[in-house]
Amino acid sequence: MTKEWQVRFRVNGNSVMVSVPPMTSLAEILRQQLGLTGTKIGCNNGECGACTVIMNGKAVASCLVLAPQVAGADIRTIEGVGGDKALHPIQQAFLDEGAVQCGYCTPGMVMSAVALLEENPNPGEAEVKDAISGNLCRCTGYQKIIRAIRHYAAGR
Amino acid sequence: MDQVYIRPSHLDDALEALNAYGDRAHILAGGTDLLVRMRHDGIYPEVILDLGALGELRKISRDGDDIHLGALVTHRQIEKDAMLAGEAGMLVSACHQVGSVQIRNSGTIGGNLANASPAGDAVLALYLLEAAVHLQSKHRDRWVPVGEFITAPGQTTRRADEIICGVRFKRLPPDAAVFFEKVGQRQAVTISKASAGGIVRISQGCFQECRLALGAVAPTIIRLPEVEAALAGSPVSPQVIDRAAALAAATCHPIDDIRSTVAYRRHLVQVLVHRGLAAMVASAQSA
Repeated sequence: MTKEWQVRFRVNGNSVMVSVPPMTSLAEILRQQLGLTGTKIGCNNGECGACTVIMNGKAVASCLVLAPQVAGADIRTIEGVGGDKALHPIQQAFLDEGAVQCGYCTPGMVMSAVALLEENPNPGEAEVKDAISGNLCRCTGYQKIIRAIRHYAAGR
Repeated sequence: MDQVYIRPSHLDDALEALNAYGDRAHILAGGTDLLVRMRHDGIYPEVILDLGALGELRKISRDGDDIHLGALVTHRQIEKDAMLAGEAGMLVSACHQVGSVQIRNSGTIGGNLANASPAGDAVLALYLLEAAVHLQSKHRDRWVPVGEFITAPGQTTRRADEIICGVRFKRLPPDAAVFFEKVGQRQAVTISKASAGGIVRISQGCFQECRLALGAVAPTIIRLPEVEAALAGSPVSPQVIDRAAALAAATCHPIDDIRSTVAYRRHLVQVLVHRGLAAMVASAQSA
């Protein structure tokens, strides 16, 4: 019998509790239950990176995480990067470099960049490319995105 | 039909559940294969047994020269482990070349084994390491060499009541040179059209121990016993490497499929084995 699962976890520092069928993905919980629509669903297949969030310090595809797997986890989404008053410096770097075109990949790109920079504050170009290799930009604006991440790292 | 979802906190409870449900249960580890198959291939498991709360399966541990990877150890954990680069370098490079960071943070070594893809990157390294897979059920506990564990694409000798708990292998000696390379549609986030890996030890100008494995050119990952035997004891020379690469290409049996063709895969095998042997020789001689 499919019962709903009560799942308690933290999102952007706040404790939340949702009640969902176990087959609900984290991406769906974020968007539909919690209204955090900055996390996008692209391929729903773990290949495009639009749904990237940081789960317990690691970038993951939230479309491939099921509700019960989130219990007790610490999740950071694009809404938890920066704040109401100011952008996170990495977001500012994207802005400065013009690293945003249609914008659909941007939240996932920023989350992958944040996860990279927290693990490795001074990444080389190859490391930046590796970190965003799972984030597809169909506007193909990769050069500016790579430049934004590298300039942010170099400027700190 | 309603679905049962079980997420036990202890291995004993997981084994108990699997004993009860048998092949009605699908085991969930990192989710990177199962969720995709459920969404896109119409797989609808009656029971999902989620191993995610079994922290005991998340550890990399060592006992003398033995290294043990719990089934839930992720590709990223292997890639980032400070010691594995020296102990089993091609496993680290294979894991690094799997999917994206997001996939490597979720996908597990146990899942890579269970998936039994002939194109599995981490599993190819386990063939080279002659790793043994640890299977546990409520009633049994056994170790199976990885080459006997995987029998065909997607097929293993895991019984319906068994959980893959981990994998064990010996660390490589410090003088071993290693290699792993894959070729896919593009450089990153790609499934291998063909892959190759190797371990060699060179002594007094001759190949001593030599192990070679290929991915995506047979129903399972394969070792190359004829090539390994031909190399063992042979002097290190360009001619010997040429012949070994040609023999590897002649002895593999690739197929035409969605990702590549027989002719191109055979060509890749020749190129990858040649490049791998040359790289390992260079690395061994500079050490």
